[in-house]
Amino acid sequence: MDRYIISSIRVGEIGKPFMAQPSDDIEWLLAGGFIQRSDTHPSKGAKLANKPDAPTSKKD
Amino acid sequence: MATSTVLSNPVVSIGAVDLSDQCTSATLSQKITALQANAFGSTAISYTAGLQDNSLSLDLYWSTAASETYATLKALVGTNITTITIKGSSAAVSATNPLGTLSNSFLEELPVAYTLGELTTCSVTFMGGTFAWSEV
Repeated sequence: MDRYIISSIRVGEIGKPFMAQPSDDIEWLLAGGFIQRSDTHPSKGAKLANKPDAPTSKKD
Repeated sequence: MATSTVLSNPVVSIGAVDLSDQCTSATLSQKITALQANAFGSTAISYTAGLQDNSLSLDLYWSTAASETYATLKALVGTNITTITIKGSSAAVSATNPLGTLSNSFLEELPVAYTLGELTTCSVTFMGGTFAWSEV
């Protein structure tokens, strides 16, 4: 599912996710610069600073 | 009791795009064509409802900056616009602040008026489509 971010105050608060409705013409909104596509998925090469399951304590 | 209201903060949106701060006038016409439904024996003209013939005219400042009037309308000429909404106040939609929605109207032309010494404007008319009021 595509994700979009608001890039114009005419559509809403800039930087907030755009919740598309069935009646929204996405291509028109993109072409007009009102919203932008957003890829919030981390790239394959990205590494997390802390692994979610790694212990935070250094005590041996 | 008669009341008078100074209109100051209506909201007009084309799709999800709010163009209120570029709009100076909006004229909405909710119309259903009247068809004569007379027959032999009729003693007076009677009518029945035909097709809807709605329209919404907007006077807008012609801003060519990013995400303004030009960017909004340039690709809509000759197309059907899914939804255009208008309400008299920016307050929440209610029985006293109804939201009008014109669906699938057609934009035939985009006339721009360039006048020396004045702000450039355009007057557009969205024709046809179905119209409905909403109070919630």
